[in-house]
Amino acid sequence: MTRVLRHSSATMSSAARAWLLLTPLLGVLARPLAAQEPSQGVRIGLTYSAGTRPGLYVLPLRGTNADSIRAILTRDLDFSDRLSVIAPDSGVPVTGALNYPLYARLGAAAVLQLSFNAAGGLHVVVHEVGAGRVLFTRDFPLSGTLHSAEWRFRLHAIADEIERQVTGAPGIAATRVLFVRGGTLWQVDSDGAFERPVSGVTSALGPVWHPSGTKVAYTELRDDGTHVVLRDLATGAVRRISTRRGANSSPAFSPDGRTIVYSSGEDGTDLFSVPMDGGEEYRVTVGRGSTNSQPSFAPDGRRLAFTTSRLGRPEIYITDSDGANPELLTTSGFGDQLYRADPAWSPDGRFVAFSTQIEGRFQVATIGLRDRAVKQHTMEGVNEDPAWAPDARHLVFTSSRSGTKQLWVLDTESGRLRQLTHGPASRMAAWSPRLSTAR
Amino acid sequence: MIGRQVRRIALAPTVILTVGACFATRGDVRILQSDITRVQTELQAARAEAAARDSALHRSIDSTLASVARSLATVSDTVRSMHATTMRLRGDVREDLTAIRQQLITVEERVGASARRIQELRAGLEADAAERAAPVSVPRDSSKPPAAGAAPAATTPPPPGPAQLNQMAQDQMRRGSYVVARGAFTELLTKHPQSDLAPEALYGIAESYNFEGNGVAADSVWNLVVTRFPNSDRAPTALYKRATALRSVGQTERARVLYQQIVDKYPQSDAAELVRPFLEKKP
Repeated sequence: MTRVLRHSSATMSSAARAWLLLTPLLGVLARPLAAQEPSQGVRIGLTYSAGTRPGLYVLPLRGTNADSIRAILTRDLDFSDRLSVIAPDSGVPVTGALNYPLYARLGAAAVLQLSFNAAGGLHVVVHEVGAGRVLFTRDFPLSGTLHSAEWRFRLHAIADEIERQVTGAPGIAATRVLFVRGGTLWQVDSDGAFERPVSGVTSALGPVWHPSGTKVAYTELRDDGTHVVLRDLATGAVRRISTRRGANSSPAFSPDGRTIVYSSGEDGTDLFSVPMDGGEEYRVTVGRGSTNSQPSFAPDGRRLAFTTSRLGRPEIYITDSDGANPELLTTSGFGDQLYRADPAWSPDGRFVAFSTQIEGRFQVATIGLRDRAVKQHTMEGVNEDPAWAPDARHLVFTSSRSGTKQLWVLDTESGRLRQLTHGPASRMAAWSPRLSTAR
Repeated sequence: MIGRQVRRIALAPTVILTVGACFATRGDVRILQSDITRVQTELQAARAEAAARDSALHRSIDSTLASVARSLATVSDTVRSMHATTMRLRGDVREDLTAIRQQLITVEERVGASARRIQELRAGLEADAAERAAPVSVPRDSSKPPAAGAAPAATTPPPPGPAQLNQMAQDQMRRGSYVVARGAFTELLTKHPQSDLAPEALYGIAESYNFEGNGVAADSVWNLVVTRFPNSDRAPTALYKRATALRSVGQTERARVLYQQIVDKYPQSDAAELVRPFLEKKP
């Protein structure tokens, strides 16, 4: 196994960094310079490719709550880890034509220009610096009470749309993360704001989002055992999914949202697949008394990864979703006593993230489905329960590195980490699909 | 007996008073009173004696009952202890059986994993052997003409073996290159029809069609796996795939027939285990 812990790497040159020191003046100087600067600048292609971070210069914004709006958008774009955000703290808004070569020298491939429209909404213009043209213009309404969850979420959706215009793929700002705190269900926005309990839930473990983002499933502890339940987030309506006696747990939705697979059993557990419309249930694994749990679907819904003890210790297998062709995913030598669990299939289908025991402590790793190459992503503290963001690039996981179990977000490409939750101990995170768009 | 005596003693004062009243003198009355007192004393003594006897009897009964209760408690404790021992033994046996079963599954899985590893190694060995078998092409000195009768240096590498072809095809399947994978599987079947990997290759072709969404072609090739290689490990899986595909499009009865074939022909297979609950349900 190769241990790789990559660090964040911006693509800005040192000259560009030096230029940044002058950026507070830029807003003032931008227009006069337009006439003085040569037309040739540093050309940075706007076509996004993996491993590069095009620079995005965020121009100042003036008006009511302008600082909050700009800060939220800038942070969202920065958290995407796909853009190198250049956002000077001061300066004045720039109107009229931009001095593209100047921004090119600053390492910007794109410039984000924000202003308020007459209706109180946000007017967004994205400039493509290399081509010296406007790439995208749109007005977004800003509904909801100021600084409320809805208002902030609207801004997250705008950030995602800006990212889509610049990189070709939407961001993950307009998403939420479900997690377990104190035995109940909580949720937090993708930027770590608004930690709040999901109302009406008294006990919960192992939450998962329905692909629609409107429902969640989780394991509920009751007097008569554990059950898998489905909750509608809007109405609070609860439906029991599991019908079997014994321990029912670890639900997972198929990517089309029409099937749910969960673990059930009394003497050992197996996976069972149940159509959401109430059709007949069928068995997916043949555990013969071993424990089979924690299913995670491939994005095409044809296969699923799961944890099984059929080798004598927890290991990750993949199988066809109808139960045929079970196969050990993680390679191990004879006598290898590693403990691997918590598989999470990436939304692009290329990787399975999992927890693996290394030197007695759990760490988060990924395995490539094509080459079966394992990459360890964490080293500090105990790290477990990985779950993918919809961009197939970020992972949220539980880590003890800060002293208590908290949720952390990892960019698997750069290795950049940020702490998502800060309250009491939190664990078992599940990242939502993209919940809304600004379009 | 005691009751009769008591009754006589109780009647005596009445008889004496009735008969003696006619002839009684003061002395007689005194004697009579004395007699009555004595009779009463005797009566009390008799009653006390009876009570004492009853009490002794009760004590005896109580003692007997207590003894019986003690015996019952002892028996109950013994039974409970035996029950606990039996349960413990049963638990131990069940635990042992579970452990043995788990070990068997583990061994089975390890054998499966090892078989896959062996296949990979076989592919590697075939590649090495092919490399060694290929004649080394020594660069000729272009200034000298080739010696008369010397064979020209062969540069064509030997064809890949069955394990190599299988490995190549499986790699292509993982990459989603189903057409390329199918080509490698087909080559394996054509050039090495007797190979133990032939069922694997045929099954792989069916899977490649299935992944492409060509259900009809997949079904016919799965059927070929069952008919051509009925004793291979792939046969029950191919049957299961056929049946499950039928079930998913609502052809439950046809699926049931195939499921039943799995249970009949391959009762020990995982596929049989998967379909049993379905067959146990009434159609």
